[in-house]
Amino acid sequence: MNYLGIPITKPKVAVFGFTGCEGCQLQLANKEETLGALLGAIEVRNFRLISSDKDDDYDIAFVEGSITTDEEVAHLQQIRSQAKILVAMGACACLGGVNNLRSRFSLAEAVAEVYGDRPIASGPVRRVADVVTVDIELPGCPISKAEFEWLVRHLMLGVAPQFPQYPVCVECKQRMNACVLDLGRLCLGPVTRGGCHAVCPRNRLGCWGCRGPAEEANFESLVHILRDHGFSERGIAERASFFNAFSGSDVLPILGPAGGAPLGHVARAEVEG
Amino acid sequence: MDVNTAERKRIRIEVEHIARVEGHGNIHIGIENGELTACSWEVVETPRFFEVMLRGLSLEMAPLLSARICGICSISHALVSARAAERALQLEVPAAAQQVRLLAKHAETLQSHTLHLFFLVAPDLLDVGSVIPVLASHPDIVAMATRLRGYANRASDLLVGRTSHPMVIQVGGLTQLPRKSQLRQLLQELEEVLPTLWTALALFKTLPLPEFERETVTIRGSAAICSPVMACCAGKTTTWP
Repeated sequence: MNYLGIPITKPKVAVFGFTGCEGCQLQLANKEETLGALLGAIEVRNFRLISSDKDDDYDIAFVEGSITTDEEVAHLQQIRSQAKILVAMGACACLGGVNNLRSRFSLAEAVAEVYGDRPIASGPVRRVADVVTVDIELPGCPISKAEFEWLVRHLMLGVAPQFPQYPVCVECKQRMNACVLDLGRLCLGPVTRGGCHAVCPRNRLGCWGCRGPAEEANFESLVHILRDHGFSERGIAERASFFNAFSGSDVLPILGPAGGAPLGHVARAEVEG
Repeated sequence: MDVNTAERKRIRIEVEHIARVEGHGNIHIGIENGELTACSWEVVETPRFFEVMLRGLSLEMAPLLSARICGICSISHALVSARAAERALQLEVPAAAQQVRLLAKHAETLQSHTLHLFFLVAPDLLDVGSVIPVLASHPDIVAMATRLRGYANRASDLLVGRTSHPMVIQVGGLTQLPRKSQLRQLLQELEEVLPTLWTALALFKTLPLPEFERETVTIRGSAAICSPVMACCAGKTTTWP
């Protein structure tokens, strides 16, 4: 196959799900109008959710979910040794995602609450990049199928993808949405990476930060804006902690370990420790 | 699958990580001298601890967080979470919001059932490993699947924002309502897509199903229009903006 004289390879692709909701994997089966074209453009070698055909000869691995057990660590390392390109797919894989909300509690407390005395294999919530080298991060909760296809086109042509680094506000203004802050809703759009076409503010929900921080995000200014709009420290911290996207910011308040600890920035390691 | 043929009287069947199911599981079966000695289904899904994640957070976060339990049936998880909060606070949900929620539930059911039938089950009935070879051998079947799933996903997009992790469902109602013209369009599209549903039903009647019978109890909600995850909206009328 050729495109403008450039030979296009049919990449051998595998898709794996770890600790997550399978929602990113589901997006791959959606966007019906291009499903046939996509499945014709790639060679699916391993995708448990939709296929019982299995072949461990693949070049590109898409990995969904956080890493929480020893088995998952071993499996991920095996995937890394096979894949030429490893893509972390979605907020759980890229950031820890909502899974990280349980890190406010000790693992023993979490197991006792949900499973009682039953022995449960689990560990700290890790991003894929905490365990192996990640080549590309495809952000979002869930990922968008259109962006997945855009990434696949880049991989087929061997071109490095350039994800938008500007904040969600840019795309939100382009779509001429009413500012949800003016509608009385908390929004992290000013500091969150765009590329989502502001799909949440478009639906009158504020931004929850699923794509991670924008380049040179002005957190101080956001905190001022949110305070001016009357949002509480606690509300801002809950929002900023939802996808674990802002644990690297020293300015945004983040939820600390549960049990009365004062609000403020808590480093990731402390929460997990 | 590992069937021990050296000793015919002892058979072990191990299915590791069953494919084409939502969720993760292994099957273990053992047979000795014609007697079933082991038969178990092991859930190997890693724990998420949602009960713990939710603890101490604001109520408004509950439907959004609960949706993340499952990306395939997020709408249901968001709906029951919102309902739980509304019942606890004794909040009345506006009739229009109830009706949109019910429509969204139906859209999700169509999406999930067509995923199950066409992508997860049909490959077995056609004796292939996945929907990918079906694309070449029976393009009409895949076209049917994408038509039905496309409609279901477009309906969810309009009604609650999207199929996986909807943004519009919130405690007390919805963040916004679709316009009347958009709902008319959705109805028109439904009328266009309905014949495909009957064709799909006719198709699955012709596919060979494995022989399997067992005593079954089927249950359904008492009011035809209402789903158990809804506050009952039967008989309420709505004026659309």
